[in-house]
Amino acid sequence: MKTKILLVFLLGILATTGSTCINDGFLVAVNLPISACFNIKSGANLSWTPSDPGQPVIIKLADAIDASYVDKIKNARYYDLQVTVHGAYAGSVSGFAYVNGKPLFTFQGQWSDFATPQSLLGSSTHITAQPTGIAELVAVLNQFKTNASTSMLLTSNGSLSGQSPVPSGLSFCFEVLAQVDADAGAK
Amino acid sequence: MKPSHNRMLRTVALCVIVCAFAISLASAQTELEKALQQYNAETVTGYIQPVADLFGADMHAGYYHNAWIAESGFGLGFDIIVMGSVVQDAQKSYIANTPPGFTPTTFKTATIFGAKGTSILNSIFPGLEYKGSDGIVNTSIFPLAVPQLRIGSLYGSDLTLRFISIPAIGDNKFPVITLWGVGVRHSISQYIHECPLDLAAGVYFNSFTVGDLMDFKGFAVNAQASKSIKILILYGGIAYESSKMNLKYKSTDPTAPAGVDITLTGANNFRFTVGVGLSLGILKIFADANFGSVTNYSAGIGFGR
Repeated sequence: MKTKILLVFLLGILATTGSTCINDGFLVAVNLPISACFNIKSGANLSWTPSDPGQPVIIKLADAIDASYVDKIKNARYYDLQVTVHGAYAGSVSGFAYVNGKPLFTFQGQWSDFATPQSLLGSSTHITAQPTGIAELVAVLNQFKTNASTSMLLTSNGSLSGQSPVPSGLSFCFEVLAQVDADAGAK
Repeated sequence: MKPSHNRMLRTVALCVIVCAFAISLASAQTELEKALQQYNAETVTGYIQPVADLFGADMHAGYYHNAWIAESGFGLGFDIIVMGSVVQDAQKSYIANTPPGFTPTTFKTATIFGAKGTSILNSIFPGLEYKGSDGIVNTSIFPLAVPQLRIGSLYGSDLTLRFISIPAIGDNKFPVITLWGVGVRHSISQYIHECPLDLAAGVYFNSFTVGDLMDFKGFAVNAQASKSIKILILYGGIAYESSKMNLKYKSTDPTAPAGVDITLTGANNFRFTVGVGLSLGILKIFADANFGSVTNYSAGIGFGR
């Protein structure tokens, strides 16, 4: 009888070992991918605008992370902006990227410069962050903490110079590397 | 068969059945897995290395509590063993890399056993900020529990078998854990005329999975010694052991390739064991301490031989 009591006690340890060892309210730094690509029409027109097909790109932040984290966001931040292009063009490119209509950054350089991602962390001389858009980006990220439906509109305008007409297959892309803290320990 | 043997066999059968069906096999992704997916192959190493170290040490604990092995004759023993590896302060934080191009290039932040993750500001570009995840497990001893079956003896050798499946821990925050192990040991003292101690040598292999995420493999070879003084058993030994943890998942880190498939090596390669037990008929009670790169303790009860 005593043996069985002792056995049940130890089996209870088996079933519950470690159950009190998990931190309450631990935050997971969740990657929040925010990216957009804009196709550049081929032909005689060397520029693109926010009214072109495919714009704006609407990013619903809740769709970018695991659904179980959406209502548990505590903090948000960004740590880089990256710009790339796709396709071949023998000339230069310049323009703006916008978040909710506010200029996020400007870019300028040879098209081939952007074949390798240009970024703030890479100290690229081809992109310049704009305070108005940065503030809007930060505001939207912070809004996500209290509003799971938060979204942002990404647009771009720019122009090419050099090769004409514009060949097909060109696109301009940018990505905001961001994190949100999800309270994974919340019940 | 004697009534006492009948009772013992029924008890063993009950333990096996209960252990096999005690736990639900949850397939939902756990908080641990979702947290690890935020790391790439390079950044996850420091965060999860303590798990490789501590699980590895736990895996190789509790193999024996007596070096005596009968020369021949059927004997059955069933143990329930609880083990724990001490979480040292050095295992609660690590030096992590910031994203490429970030200044500073490294920062100190929490491991899975740590407290709050550190937030770091870029010293060149104001407004750029990066942060490590918080620790998940808050404990001074990282535990494990296993049932163990001993079957012997043939020519002074016996067989050790382990199996357990532990449920998702903390409301599905830590995945289902499954372990199986097998070992063989052989009596050395049977060859030594009037040996004052019982001596044996053993070799063991363990496999250990944590959800769909982690896969441990461990191997140990040890030398065991014990001395019985009436109901008191003093035992100890030395062991060489190795453990490797394979971690495989798809990362969401945009700065690195999505597929993560890495292998981490457990820190503990050698242990020195000292233990004490009580032999109360078919009931055994034992506890030991193990010293190596990781300090580990185990204790348990045994039934039978």
